[in-house]
Amino acid sequence: MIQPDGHVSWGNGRLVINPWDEYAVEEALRLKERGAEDVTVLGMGTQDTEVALKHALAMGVDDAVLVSDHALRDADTLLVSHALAQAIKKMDDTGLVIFGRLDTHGAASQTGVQVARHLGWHSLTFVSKIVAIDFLKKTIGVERSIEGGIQTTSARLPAVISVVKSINDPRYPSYVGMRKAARKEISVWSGRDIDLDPVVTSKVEWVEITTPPTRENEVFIIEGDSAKEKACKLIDILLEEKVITR
Amino acid sequence: MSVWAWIEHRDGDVAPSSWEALAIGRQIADETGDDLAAILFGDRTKIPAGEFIGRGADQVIISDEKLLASPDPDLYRDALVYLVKERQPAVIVAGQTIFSSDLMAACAVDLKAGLISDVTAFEVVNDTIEAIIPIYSGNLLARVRIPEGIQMLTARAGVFHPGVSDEHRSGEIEYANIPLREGQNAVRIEHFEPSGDNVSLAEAEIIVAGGSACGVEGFRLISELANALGGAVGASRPPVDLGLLSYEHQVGQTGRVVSPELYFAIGISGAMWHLAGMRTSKVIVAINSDRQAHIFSMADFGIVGDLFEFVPALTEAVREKLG
Repeated sequence: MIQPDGHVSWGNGRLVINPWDEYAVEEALRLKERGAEDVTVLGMGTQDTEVALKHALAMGVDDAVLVSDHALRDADTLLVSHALAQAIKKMDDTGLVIFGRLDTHGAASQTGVQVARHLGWHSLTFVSKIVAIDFLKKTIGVERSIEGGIQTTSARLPAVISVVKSINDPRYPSYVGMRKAARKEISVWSGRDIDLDPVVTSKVEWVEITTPPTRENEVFIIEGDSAKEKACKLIDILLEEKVITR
Repeated sequence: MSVWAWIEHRDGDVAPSSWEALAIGRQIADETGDDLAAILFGDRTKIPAGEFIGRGADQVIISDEKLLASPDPDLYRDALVYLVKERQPAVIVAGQTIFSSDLMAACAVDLKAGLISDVTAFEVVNDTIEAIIPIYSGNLLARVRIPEGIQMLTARAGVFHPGVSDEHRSGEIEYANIPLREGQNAVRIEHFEPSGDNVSLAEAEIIVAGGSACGVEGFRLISELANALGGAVGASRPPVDLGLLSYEHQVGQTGRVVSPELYFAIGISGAMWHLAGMRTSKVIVAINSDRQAHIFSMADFGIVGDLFEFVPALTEAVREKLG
């Protein structure tokens, strides 16, 4: 069984399927053609998250689970990853967990790494391709899109991977898929159902949310009589401001 | 109590974002009155320990256990966690490379610690760091903090100044013993294929990026400008989707987040998804034929005109003036 992560909803912002999650769901569905038995999508949050889970069901996943508990409101990644790990522990035979790379709060693949750590499994981030996977031999080989190039890495299963956008092109749900999804039930698990440990609490606290300051200067449009003149002016300015140097 | 800066390096070649982490650590230490320690693993003969002291560390703690000779994520995690539990620093700062981010995330679980990622600014308030992080593609900023326990932070690369060296500073160098068990080698790096560019986006000081208006010819011109400036080539999403460049060049919400000194946005309209990836660049220059393009509201300098005319003109001007 594979569980790709669904969307983690935070606060009251309008829910959008995190663009990353579709890639995770798509990759999981493709793995069914490579030996995976079952795909479950796991999400966390409130009823709003169900929209994202329904979309995954419409794409073709077999089951959907929503972890929902008051104790998880405003949870930081430490608590979120603990809750997700607990939910995954409840699911039998999980070979691989797939995350999209970022949630809307830019936790930059931290959550996947932390879920893996809670489970005692290996984690591979920035996966751009699953080169080989063997559920019986329990091995996986991937390419990772890291700084400066592509790293080829192998690991033992079970593992947690987080994928990047270039890994695939997510399918559009078919009409039939959408109808099936509408009828499918999403299992809802509470903190008690997943044995959420009350000792694990959020360590990161939100003080406030603000809008970023607008960049101070209004754009300075370079004028001139010719392309050459404008180009020279720009380079002179950049040299003067020491943004480029000789 | 001390502030720690985790230093990522390869045989003594320090990752640029680690210098930034050290500078951030120095600033925090100055405000809280703590000491700053630079933490490194690896061969002591290759590590320029004195340089860290020059750049602000009061201590340099090095562990050169044989098992830490190459960066095994599990062993590094266990080693760093061991050190933290032994010495109880108040703060740990790291630069946000992939390796260091993964490392900090894993350590945070073992330490049951809060971790704040993608820090772009901070303030120390009553010995607690209040960190500013961009959320929702940078359209909003969140101010967050860790009121109790160890504060772990990773800072977005390229945003903070790496600080300067002062040869008159003094400090201590310590070689720490860390008991470690042989790793399981369960995660194995088989191969690394460099992307073939001279400069990778993550570390580029100058990035010249193109958008949908560019096409094959446009990117050829952009490459020439990038070469002339010693910079890297970037792209918004559409050219990458079309296969004009590989994904490693993509800048934006679904690509890389970069923060260079200078960012050229050429033929890029300035959609939110792209801005999320480059809005913390120090100087932004936009070249676009449409004066109303959103990119001009973000740019510091702009040229309104045809990129096929201006990019070559810029390349020529750069070659003339920079020699």
